[in-house]
Parts: sequence; C-alpha cells; structure tokens
Amino acid sequence: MPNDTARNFARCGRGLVIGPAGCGKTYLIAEAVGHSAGRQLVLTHTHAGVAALRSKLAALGVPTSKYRVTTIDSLCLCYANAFPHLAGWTCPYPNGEEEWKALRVAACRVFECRAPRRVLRVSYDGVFVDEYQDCCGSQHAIVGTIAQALPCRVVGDPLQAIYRKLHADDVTPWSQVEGLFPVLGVLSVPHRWLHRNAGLGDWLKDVRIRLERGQQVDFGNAYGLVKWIPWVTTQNQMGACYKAFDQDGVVAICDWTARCVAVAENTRNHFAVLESVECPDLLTAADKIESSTAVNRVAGAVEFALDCMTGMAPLVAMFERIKQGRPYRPRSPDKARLWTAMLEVIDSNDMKAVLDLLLAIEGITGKHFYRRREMWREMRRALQGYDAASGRTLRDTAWATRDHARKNGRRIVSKRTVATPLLIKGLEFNHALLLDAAQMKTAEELYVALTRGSFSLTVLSAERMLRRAVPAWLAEAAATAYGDRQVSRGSGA
Amino acid sequence: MAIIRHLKVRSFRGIKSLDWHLGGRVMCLVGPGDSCKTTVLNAIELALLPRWNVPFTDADFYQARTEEELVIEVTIGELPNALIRQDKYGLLLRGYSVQEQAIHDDADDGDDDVLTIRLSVDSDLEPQWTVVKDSNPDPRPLSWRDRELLAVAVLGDDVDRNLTWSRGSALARLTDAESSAHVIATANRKAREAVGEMELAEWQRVADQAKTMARNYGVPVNDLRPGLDVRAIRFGQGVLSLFDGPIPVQSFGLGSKRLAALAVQEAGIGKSSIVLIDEVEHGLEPHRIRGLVRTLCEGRTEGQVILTSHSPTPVVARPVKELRFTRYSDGQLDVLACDAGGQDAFQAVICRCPLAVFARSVIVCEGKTEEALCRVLDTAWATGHGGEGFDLRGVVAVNGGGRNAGPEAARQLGRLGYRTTFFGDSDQPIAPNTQELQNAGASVLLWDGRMATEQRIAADVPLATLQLILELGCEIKGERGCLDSCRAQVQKLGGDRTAITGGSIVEWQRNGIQEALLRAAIGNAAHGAEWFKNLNDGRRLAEVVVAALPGICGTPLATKLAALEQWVYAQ
Repeated sequence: MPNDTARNFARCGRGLVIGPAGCGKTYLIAEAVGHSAGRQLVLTHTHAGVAALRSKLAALGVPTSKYRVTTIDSLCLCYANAFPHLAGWTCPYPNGEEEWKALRVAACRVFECRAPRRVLRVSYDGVFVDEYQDCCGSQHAIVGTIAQALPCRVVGDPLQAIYRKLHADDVTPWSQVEGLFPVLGVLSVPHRWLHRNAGLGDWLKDVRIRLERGQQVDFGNAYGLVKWIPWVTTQNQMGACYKAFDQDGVVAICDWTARCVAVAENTRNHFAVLESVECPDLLTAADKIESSTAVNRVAGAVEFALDCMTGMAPLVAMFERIKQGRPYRPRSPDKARLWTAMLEVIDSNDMKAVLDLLLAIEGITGKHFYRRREMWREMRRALQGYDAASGRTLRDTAWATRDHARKNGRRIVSKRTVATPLLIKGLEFNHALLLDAAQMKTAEELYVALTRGSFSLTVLSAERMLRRAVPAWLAEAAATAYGDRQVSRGSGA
Repeated sequence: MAIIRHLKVRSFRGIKSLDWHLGGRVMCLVGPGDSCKTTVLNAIELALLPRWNVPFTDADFYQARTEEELVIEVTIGELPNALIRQDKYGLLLRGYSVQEQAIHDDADDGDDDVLTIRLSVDSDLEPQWTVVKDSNPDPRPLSWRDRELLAVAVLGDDVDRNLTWSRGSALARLTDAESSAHVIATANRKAREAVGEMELAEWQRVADQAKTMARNYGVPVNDLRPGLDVRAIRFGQGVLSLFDGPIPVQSFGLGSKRLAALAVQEAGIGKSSIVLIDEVEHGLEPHRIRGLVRTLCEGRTEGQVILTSHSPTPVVARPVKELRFTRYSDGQLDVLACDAGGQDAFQAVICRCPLAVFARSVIVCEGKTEEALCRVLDTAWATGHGGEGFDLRGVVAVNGGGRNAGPEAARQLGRLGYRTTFFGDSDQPIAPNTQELQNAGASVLLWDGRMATEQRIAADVPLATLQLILELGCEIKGERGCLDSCRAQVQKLGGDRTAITGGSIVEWQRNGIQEALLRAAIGNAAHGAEWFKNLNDGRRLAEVVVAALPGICGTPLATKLAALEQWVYAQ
C-alpha cells in the first residue's frame, strides 16, 4: 500500500502532523526526507533526538547527502556566530539559560536578513522540525522566520509538552502553532507496541484519550498489560529495580535528579544516571577545582569524587591526613599512588596533576560504585583536553566536551538507566519502571512516563485511579480531541 | 559569474601596500612603466587561479623581505550558489556596498554578497588559500576546485601552448580525454607501419650484422630489422596542435596567434568569468585592438574584464570611467579613477589627445590658441635646451576644451597624479578656481591683468609684430571684416572709429589713436572675433609672437612664458 502520508508530508509547503508517543513520528520524518527532493534540514531539540533521527534515516537507507540533522539551538548558535553584526551577538557560546534566550532572539534577527536567508535557501530545499511541542516561544519565532524562506514541515505532540514549565514566560500557545502550520493529520498506529505488546499499545491509546479529557486512568484494569504495585515504598521500588537487573533497555523514572542519583547508588550503579546536557554539577565542580589551589584543589577533587562514587572512605581518610599535615606510609601500591597524586596537586599548579589524582582515585581497591559515571568521565575528558596556554578555563573545556557531544548526537550506552521524564522524552526503551506515579504532577509528564517502554510497563502508584488536570492547550481550545482527524499510516513498520 | 570588488595586497613583489576598490565591471589600467600594473594582475591571478602547486621564492616578497607576510586578499561578489552553501563558505559571507565603496563584515540587505579570499605566504614559502571574515577567527581553507568555480582566466598568456592540446591547455580542457589518447595510439601505430614500409637498406645491413653477432652470443633472434621506436610519439608538450590547412597556427603572426589563443581560452570559460589581459595591444594593429576591446567589453553584464595597456588605442575605445590610473611611489600603489563630475571634461581631453594619458606632464591649454602657442614654443625651446623638446621630457600640451571644461580637466589630471598646469585666459574666473586646482596638485598659469591670450599678446609685443598680427588677421578674416571689428572695438573703448582707415597701424596712430587704445582694440578684436581660433591660424600667430619674444623680456607675456618654460624643463 503506497505510503501517502510521508509523501504528502514531504510535498506540502507547510504542515503539522500530530504524532502521539510511539506512533512513529520520527520514522515519518525520516521517510519524508527520503521522499523529498534536494537537501533537507532536520531540526530537533536534544542531542538524543539527533541520534534517534540519524539512526532512523540510516536504517531507511537515505543517503547522508540528503539531510543534515541538528538542534534548533545549534543552528541558532551557528548562524549567530557567523553573522555577529546582524545578530548583535558577541559571545562565542552561551552560558546559562539567560544567554541562550538572548541567543535565540539574536538568531531570529539573523534569519530575517537577506544574506543568511540566501545561505539557507542555497544550502537546503526544505526544513523538518521534530518535537515541535518543545519549542519555546523564541524557537517558534525562529522556525516561523525560516518558514518564510523554505518549505517547513513540523511534527509534534502537545500531550508531551513537558518542557513548558522550563520555558516559563516564553511559551507559545498550541493554537498559534496550528495557525502557522495547518494540521495535515494525526498518526494513529502505535508502532512501538505493535509487535511487542500490542495490548499495552491499545491501553495507552485509551489512556491518551482519558488524559485529554481529564478523566481517570485506571491501573488496576490492565491485567497482563501493566504491572501495578500498589504500595510505594523504597523497598518496593528497589525490588522492582532488582527484578530488572537481567533485562536490557530498562528505564526507571523519577522526578528529580537527586532521586535518580539515590536509585543509582542503591542499585550500585546497575542503573546509571542519565545526565542532562548542561550538567551544571560538572561545570560547578570544574570551576571550583580550577579556581582553588593546593589543598583546596584537592578538596574540590575529593568532593567531586564523593559526588560521583560510593566507597570513598579511604580517600576521605587520606585527605584528612594531608589536611592535618600528618605523615603517612602507604601500605599498598594504589594507596601510594593516591598519596603521591595528592601531594603533586598540592605542589604543582598543573591541571594534569588533578587528572592523575582522578585516575588514582579510580584505582582504589575495595568496594566502590559509581553514582554518576558519565559525569566522572566527562571531568576526566575535560582535564585531558585542558590546555593552560589556550586561555580557556577548565569550565569552558568541560562545556566544550559537552557541546561536542551535543553536536554529534549522544548515544545511550547503559543497559539500565534512571532518569527524569525531561531527559527521556522521545526515547524508546524496552521496559519502563515508573517508581512513583504521584511524582508525575501533570498529564503531560504522566503520559511521557507511561509511554517509554515498548515491552512492558511497571507502575508503582498509591492510587489505583489517577486523575490529572486537562492539559492547558485543550482547555483553551473548544475543539474535540483529534479523533476525527486520524490518519492511518499503513501496517508495515 | 563573479566580479572582484576589492583588492588588498601587502608585500608582493613591487607592491608594499595596495587597497583598491575596483568600482566597475570593465576597466583598463594605464600608468607609467614600473608602476606595477602587471603585478596587480599577477596578484589577482595567484589568488584566484585553480592551481595547487605555485612555487614562491624570496623574490616574490617586497624587497625580498620574507619576514613580512605576503598577503593578497580578493573580495569577490556575484558568487555562484555552490560556494554559498552552509557547508562551503556561506557562513563566511560578507557584504559590499557599491554606493559606499565599503566592505561590511556582515552583508546588509542592500549589499552585494561577497567572500574574501586570502592568499598568504610566509617565510617558509608555503602558500595558503583561505576564506576570511573579520568576525571569524578560524579562516576556512579554500580548495583549488572551489577556486575553479570562480572562473578566472588570464587571456593571451602562454600563447603557443594554448594553441596545442598539451596538458592543461584550454583546448585540452574542452576535449574529452579518452578520444585524445585514442588518437595518439593510432598515430603511433600508423607511423610504425609507415616506417616498416620504407626503404631502409643501409639500416637493414647493419641490423643483419647485429643478428649474426647476437646469434653468436646465443640470443635467439630471427628477424632483426629497423623500426620506429614505440615511444616515438608521446602525449607530451603539445603533440596535437591547431592547423589552418597545412600551416600550423603557431607560425602565424604574433597578433593573430594571440587573438586565436584568446578566443580559444574564452570558449573554455564562458562569458560569465573574470578575464585578465596584460598589454591588450600586444602584437595587434589599431583596428584589431579596437575590435578586441569591443568584443571583450561591450555590453558586458556579467563577469569582469581587467586590462592593462601602454597604447592610446584601447584608451580611446572605452569611456574614461573605465580607465584606472596606477600611481606608484616607494612601494605604495594607488589605483585612481576619474571623478564622476569630471568625466565629461576629461573624456573630451582624452579624445582630442589620447597621448596625454601616457605623458608625465600635461599642459592643459584653455583653447586652440594656447595649444598652438605651446606647439610653437616646443620647437623654440628645444633649440635652447640641446634639442630636448616636449616629447623627450614627456610633456604633452592638450586643448582643454574652453574655459568651462579646461580647468575641470586639469583638476582631474592633477588628482590622478599627473604633473599638470592649466594655461589659460584670466579674463573671466575659472571654475574650479585656482585654489581648488592647486589642492588637486595642479599648477595654474594665467595671464596677468585679466586678459585673454590675444589681449595679452597685443598688449606686450612690439608694434612691428602687432602690425604683422593685424595683417594675419586681415588675411584670415578678410580685410573688411577684420577692420570692422577693430573699428567696433575702438568705438567701444571710446576712440574714433573713423581713424581706422586701412590695415596699417602707423596710419592709425597718425590719425590720432593712442598706442594703448589701439593695442587694446586689436587684442579685443582678435579675441572677440576669433581670428586665431583654430590650430593652423593659431600656429601662424604663435610663430610671429615667438619670433618677437627675445626682444620683449620683462613684459608680462614673456615672463609668463618663461615661467612655463621653467615648469616644462624642471627636473
């Protein structure tokens, strides 16, 4: 059966397709790129999204010359840096949300000028934007400006708009989005669950309708589809996690990073923490290490180690000795190495000494587990790449390694991850573990959390019937849910 | 499809520093010898031609000072889209405002989109081609393939090579490579066959000897005979070349060869390219120069043409706004163009006397009378300076085209770096005035006393000469007309017109006309009735006057002319 949706989508000058979770919006974009003529610019928000798009495009055999996938913010940074006078933009890379906001406004200015538009038009024949519900107001303005120069097709799901609380006052009402991009249709085949747990897919379709209407979601009525654990205790939570130890592609969901770190610690890093892009803890630690000297620098390193790993008692003990100036005769080679490394950091100003110290810390025998392995590795990478002569601070170097990851698209390498909905939205796992449904305060968060696992879903919830407020955009519009405008995407996946 | 907007050169051969806004699509560089015109073309060529192995030596640096970096930056507009893609050089796009003649680091909406290409060579003689932008600290390397897209061609160089199919020549690039190889292989075989059929008795004898000897050494040969070596014809330097019937084009005259090579090159690059030609007149007679210049320059709406010339023919073939004057001093090169306001005046001067463009010093005369005077003075002064006249001193006297155009022309010439004097009447104020002319670098030579030339002459020459002048006037204008105008002038000045009875001044004096009055009357008449307003008549006047000059040193006339002489013969 010919695949009309993707083709129509590719050919329209401006359009929006609504894709509920797991219905294949990313796949739709990849297919549409394949059907389009010329080179397409594909925009998304996170580097995880970039990775997902790239893998779908490669899987479909679309030649890389036909597309370029990047995030909206990267595109803004690229053009604002290329045309700084038009943008009114002076700093090479933004630090912090305020500066990112300023960057987006500057980029919007750039895309309204003739020369950058010409570069866009010459380089690309069309634009696709994924995850449109995550666009803050300034990003929506930017896409609108670009849409004046190039055909622009967008895909999104307002029920997954969990970034809104981050955007605060920079939010675009969904009705405006639909005003700019006429709705072509709604995807309706839950491909994610089709061959794995079709029943779960159908149940989730029903959940969506209920959430849109502000009705209750019943966890108890889904035998064989959803595993519901009615008592939310730490023991039960850890129990659910342990049950997943021999599984692959598992995600445990909490609402705060601190809770994620606790889960990682309690499971001895069998569940790895997924760090956010900016990883502010990393940057703060880098700042601290660089700006201090001698003993304080060692203190900074030790604090960082404590943050990232458990079982650091020998390290703390050694550090106390150094602080008090007491002598120490190391009993084993790795302790000796650690001692020498600490002294080296105190004596020399070289950042390489800190790297040696970190490596020595890793070498401590005895039981230690990672809480935040990724962050630890990033710090090591930053220290390796640090070059005092270049004038960049350690913080900047650390930022740059994160930025590099952002540009290249990140891959989730751990078998079991613990993360917040913000970080895993748009990603697909085999098994999802919602550790406390009550933590998901809005309909959007709940929907995202419930739709992550394609094989199974385990929910710990004190209440059997969960109700959340009607999502804002639907409360505004009087329209019915998009039941009327469903479009079937064909049965092949 | 490209046009150079701006050229910056530092420390390249003779040029220590050059910053030039080209300001046009078609232009011809003129200037004295050794003013780096060819160097400018070479600079553009090196920066833009798609060659990857350009050997640089110490001599390519200004005064061989290799510690100063050699830099050539060309800012090019009207770019092909392929270069402006984001993954090429689109993010290094800059803007050029033709009105302001300025480069903007980011292109404003009204600007032309440009890229700045930089060729830099430092003391280890490795050239680097990059695309640069002020706001970008990391210049992007520019590959030679991308330079090919700019389609720059130097026409008329390597003439002989371009009339052959040697590697890299224009003809070779137009041809499909495989068919050339086939031709050579076939030619080799045919030649070998032809030699095989030739009568080669003497060689065969020697070959038989060789066969016997070889057999003795145990070499198993059967049929030794002479034949054409398999590598006889190789596709090396120009094996295939152009022929007109049996005559190779390479043996045509220089002019025709050059035109043919030029035509072939242009066929290869198309109309939308940047074309550089050094010494466009080389080997060509004037009508062919004009034809070439017209074909290249007329109606050109895309691409760019930059010529250099030492000949007046191309200079008059194009309007003066397409001329660029190179002025060189101690390494600093400036390329100047005529002001928009002065183009008409300047154009008129050039049309009248194209040689002025190639002179070192120019006397801009107000009119034909003054010009004729200069001509005669040239001969007269030459005798006094060991035979060195205007030609040898590089001085040219031109007709400036009247009081309205002459001073403007003199100003332009002064601005453009010529050593200039404006030589004219002072009876009415000139515009631009003396101060403005001097600010532009020109000298001003006007008669004392608010007089026109004829009036000054009439006032200062001895009466005998004045008589001759009157007789000349009667001859030229007819006695009646001439005397009538004298009468009218006498009356205007308050004298008695009836005193003018005939063509003899002595008679007039006897009839009561004062000397001063009659001098003024004749002067005014000569000026007002235009007795000597063409070159021939002016010459006759001048001869008479110059003959009388030695006798009247100290008069304003003689003093002024002596000042002019001094200016002409100054070191």
